[in-house]
Amino acid sequence: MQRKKASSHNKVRTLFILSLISYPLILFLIFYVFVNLNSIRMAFFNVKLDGTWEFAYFDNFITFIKGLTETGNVIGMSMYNSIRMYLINLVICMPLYLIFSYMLFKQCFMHKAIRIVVMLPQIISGFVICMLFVNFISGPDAPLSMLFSHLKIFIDDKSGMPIDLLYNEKTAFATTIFYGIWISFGTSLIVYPNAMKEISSEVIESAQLDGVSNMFQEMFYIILPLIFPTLSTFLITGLAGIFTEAGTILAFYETNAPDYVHNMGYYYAKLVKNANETTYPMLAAGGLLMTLIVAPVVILVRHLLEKYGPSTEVQ
Amino acid sequence: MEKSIKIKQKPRVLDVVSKVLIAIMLVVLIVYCISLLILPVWMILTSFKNSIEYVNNSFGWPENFYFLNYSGVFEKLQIRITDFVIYNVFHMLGFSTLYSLGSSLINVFFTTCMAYVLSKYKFFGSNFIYNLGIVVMIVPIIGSLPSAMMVRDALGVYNNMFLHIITSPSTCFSGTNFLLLYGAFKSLPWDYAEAVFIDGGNDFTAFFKMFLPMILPTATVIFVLSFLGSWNDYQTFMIWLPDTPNLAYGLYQFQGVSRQLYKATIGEIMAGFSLVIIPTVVLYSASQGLILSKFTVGGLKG
Repeated sequence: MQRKKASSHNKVRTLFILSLISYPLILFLIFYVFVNLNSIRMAFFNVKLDGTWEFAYFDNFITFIKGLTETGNVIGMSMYNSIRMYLINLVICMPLYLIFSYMLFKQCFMHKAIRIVVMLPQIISGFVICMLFVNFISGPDAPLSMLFSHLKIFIDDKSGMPIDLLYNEKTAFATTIFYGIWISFGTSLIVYPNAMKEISSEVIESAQLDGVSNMFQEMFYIILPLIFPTLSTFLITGLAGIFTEAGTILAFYETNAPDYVHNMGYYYAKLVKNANETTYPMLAAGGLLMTLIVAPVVILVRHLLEKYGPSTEVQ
Repeated sequence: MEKSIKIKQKPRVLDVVSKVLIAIMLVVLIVYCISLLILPVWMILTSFKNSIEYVNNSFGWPENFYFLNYSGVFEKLQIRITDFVIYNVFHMLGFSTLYSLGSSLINVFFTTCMAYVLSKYKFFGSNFIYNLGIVVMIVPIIGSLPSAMMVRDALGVYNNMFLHIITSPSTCFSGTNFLLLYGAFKSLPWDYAEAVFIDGGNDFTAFFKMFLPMILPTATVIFVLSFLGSWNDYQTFMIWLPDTPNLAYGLYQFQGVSRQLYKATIGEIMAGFSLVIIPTVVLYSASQGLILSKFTVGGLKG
């Protein structure tokens, strides 16, 4: 009787587990596993003029590598810009996130108002802020252009008009970087202070008794080691997305961005959006190459962070 | 179990530098916050100016509040898909609502299911699925967009909003939302389920009547953030659903390359943006306390 009951219980449990996880797993098999396997297959084929596919050996890889190494080629420029964007984010944004988060954690002057205002791009919508930014700085009737014109600064020598920051070769990339940094604080200034809040006040008080007296010491000896899992999660996912994130370039330019502001994420999105099917095999080959380079780097960085990063265990 | 830190010498210079740095950074932070307010304020003021006033007074307070910009958005904002299919603001509003509600609900529901099963049940392959989720999150697969386009096109998912929504939770056991829910379920003891079983319930009852209500605040935060993201998502519509434009994509077209085509004035564009943010501002304001308290991200332990 008991065995029968247990068997029925097990059947219900199996049914329960299967009913909850089957559908997402089937979707995963189709839209992740199959899509990626198909991408690998595509890397070795070419689309002929009549629309049929023919085996192309390593031709697509060679085309991609040539594009990468050729001076002035958009593929190389896209990769260079992606790496630059990641490094600038790492070197400039990450320290600022941590310092600002520390100040909010310590309940600095106007901390409640600051926490609401930094979330404005998320509240109002990142998309709308992005469009407002474009309308504010770019175009003949943009307020910034009018201001330049009024102050007679940033005037183009040839046309005598104020320069358009989004379409001037000297300023376009810097403008996209500036916008990326300017807009990026919202989520970080919620996540990091929340992680800091989870540190027991006893740990901080005992550290103060041991002589910790300023921000640098508190950050290095207490806060950074204890929020290290959160920090490393952002470092790893940021690195993982280095060649897939289009950033705001798609919003700024749709599919008409000048070559010098392209990054890899944008380059792929643009060609797919334009439905240029003949370029798909080369893109797939490039994607496979980049995955083979980036994936081991991400795994290595994760391993190093776990092995040599500060321990969160209390000694 | 006591953490002890040995500071050899009290570094007074560092104390001073630290205080000065904090003061400087506070000024920087306040200036940054002010800079964030400039664009929304400019948007609202400009939405009440006509074209002539805007040229003479781009930044200042409107002399006469020009409400026709708002009706102009409803008249001019139309997207022509074919000669016979033209979508107006109300169609786009419908697409925005359908997509935001549908994709957020289905994603949060399946992410919650996966997080619950993987955190509470040990079965053949459970550890593998959990680790797979972590691997999917940290190992980048680059360049699969063309293949995704071909597969979605072949399956009829491309340009089909209903199919796009129901196929969206394909990596729901990976990512920040999954980790948040997984951690939340892990922190709840299994004793609750045992109590349900003693009362004659089964696994379904334990999940739907016991654990799901307890996890609701975290799931609500994820739903709200997902809804806000979907409401403003124009990229999905640009690439995957171009024939069913939502408001964000419609406005993107309205202000961008097609601005000349619509003969839209800057005041009308700003009025459009002012209208599209109303739902997100209301939703965020209503759930702000919950979002600020629940959103934490831990480590990636595989």
